[in-house]
Amino acid sequence: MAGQPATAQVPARDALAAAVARAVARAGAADLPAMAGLRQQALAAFTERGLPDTKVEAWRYTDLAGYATRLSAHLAQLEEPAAGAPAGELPPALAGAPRLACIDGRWSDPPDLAGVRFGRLSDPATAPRCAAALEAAAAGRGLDPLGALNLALLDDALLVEVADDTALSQPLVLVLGDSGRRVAGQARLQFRLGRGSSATVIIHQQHTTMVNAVLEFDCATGARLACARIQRDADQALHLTASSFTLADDAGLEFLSVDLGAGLARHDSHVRLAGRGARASVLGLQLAGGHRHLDNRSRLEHLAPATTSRERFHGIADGHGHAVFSGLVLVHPEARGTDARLTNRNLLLTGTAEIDSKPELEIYTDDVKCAHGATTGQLDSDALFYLRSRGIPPDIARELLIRSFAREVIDAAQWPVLAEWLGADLARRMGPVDGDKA
Amino acid sequence: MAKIHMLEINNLHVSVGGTEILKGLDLAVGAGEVHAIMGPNGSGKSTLAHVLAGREGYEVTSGTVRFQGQDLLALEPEERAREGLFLGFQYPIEIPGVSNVYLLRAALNARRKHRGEPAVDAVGFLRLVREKARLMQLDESFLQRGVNEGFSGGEKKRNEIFQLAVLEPALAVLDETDSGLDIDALKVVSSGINRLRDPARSFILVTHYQRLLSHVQPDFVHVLTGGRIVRTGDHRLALELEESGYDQALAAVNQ
Repeated sequence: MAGQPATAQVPARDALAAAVARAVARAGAADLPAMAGLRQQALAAFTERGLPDTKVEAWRYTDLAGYATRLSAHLAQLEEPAAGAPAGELPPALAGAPRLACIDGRWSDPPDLAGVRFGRLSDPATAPRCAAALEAAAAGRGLDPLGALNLALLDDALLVEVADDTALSQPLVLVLGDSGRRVAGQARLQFRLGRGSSATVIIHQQHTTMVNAVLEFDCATGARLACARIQRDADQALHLTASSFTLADDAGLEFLSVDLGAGLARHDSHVRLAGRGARASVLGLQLAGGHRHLDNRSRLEHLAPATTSRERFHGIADGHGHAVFSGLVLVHPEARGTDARLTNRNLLLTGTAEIDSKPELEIYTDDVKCAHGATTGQLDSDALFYLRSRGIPPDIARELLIRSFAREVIDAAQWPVLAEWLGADLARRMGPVDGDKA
Repeated sequence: MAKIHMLEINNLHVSVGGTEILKGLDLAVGAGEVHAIMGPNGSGKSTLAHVLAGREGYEVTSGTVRFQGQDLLALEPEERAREGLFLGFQYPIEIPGVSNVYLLRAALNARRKHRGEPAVDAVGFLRLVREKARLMQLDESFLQRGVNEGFSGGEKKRNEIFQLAVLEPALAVLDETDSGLDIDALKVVSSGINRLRDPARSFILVTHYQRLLSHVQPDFVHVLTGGRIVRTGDHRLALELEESGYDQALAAVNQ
């Protein structure tokens, strides 16, 4: 963790801040007073610190200079009307599931769902509730530079409130993308799961331009959330997402995060185990082929006694790809009886690819069970020989082992609908294997 | 009458990392025969098994190996398998996320393609693997599990023989298949092997101990030590080794 926030070069920073300020002024014209105040607050927070550069430890491997340039260039386009075209294709099994889309930063009309209240900043009837939720989030968690930028520039935000003791029978599908004519810009979600309720949320991100998404989940006492984030952006896309989860007493989270696309993607996941007995399982996979740069940063924060976390993250770097994983398990003094395990495994497939892995434990109480481990290696030659000795050619043996490594994470998530679909997508990305048919 | 052997090894010399392990090994295996290769640790037994299967890192410095009349050493590991050679591993590899049934279908289809046959049809294939799984007393749910994923030592060895049963090779080389087996698993594995004995199929059982051989009676027993076969006999030789130990049996040779 770096103490002092470093900043990008001053002239570029000032130009960007000025462009952001102009955009905020435009967006603010249509705002409710509460929202306008919030934007100003966010603008001030952003202007003060600017975008982090690679001198900041947390951003050591991911350079936002390209994002700054493209953001400046695209801010001017914000005055043009949004094009609003649907993006993305989904598993057929989810075709009937309730869904919302956030295209070019604007959310579609929400479905009717028993026990669920939706709010949108772009809908005058529900905007006040949505703005209040954004304000509460900003007050509660503070504003890091990208969070501040998101709040300052967002055109829309979605608030989902699931009532107490409600079990959603179908997954809620959120499609995040862009029309390709305008940038995806800022995407924003506030999700509140009521006491004793359960929900499954599938976030499918498929951008072609650039996005800065902030996804926040609050799980009340005894709530159960299963959440999958699948990032399948186009090769040229520039992708930033921060996912955060706060769990109250006995709340449970299963989070599956998969990065398969984008030219540059940075995903920050932050799980706060804030209530006694809260449990979180985090499974992650990133596939950095081609010239992809994928940076996953995970933070599991134990704030209350008897909390449990499990994280398994697999990274694959192929071609000229670069995969970064930093995982922190942070155990606060009051989190006695914490049980945490963090595993990071990486597969380096070429001499031109790169992997950086940094698992960390930070523990401020004695009464804990914590373990972490990280490995980076190449394909196991014993396993390759085993498959070849069964008649399987080396190129297919290699693909099978890569898929095996990826499937370990996806299968552990135990979501059959997603596992099959993702498995097929992985197969496409790694080439076909004999035996897939028949 | 000149008979074409299943396998014919002549004066085989093999080095690993510059150290010579096999130092002029000769062995002829006829069709339908079961040969046991016994020997103390470090005698070169596993090296022989791996060289036959084509593992990298084993350098053949001289000698020849003919398998069903063709030069085995000229073939890649996968080509050897498609020609009908099977290696049962001492330590089978775990491959999570690739199911047993998937591996078998890929292996079977690779061989069928090699022979110019069409891919196996789904229904016939499933019938085949279910039948063979029953023989090895493997639960059907096992088919969908990852290859050897979380299997006990005994399950892994049973899985090797299960693969052998499905792939029906001409020559099976089983490397220490009996190691790490309890008596029940040993019975399942050896009855699986016995059921697969066939006039057209040969076995080489590489083993340190005699106990597998009291369940699977070999036609020939060879003692391998110092990189050479120094004694050959019938199944009674295994019993002799068990009783007197390798030292004494070899002392007789050296006199």
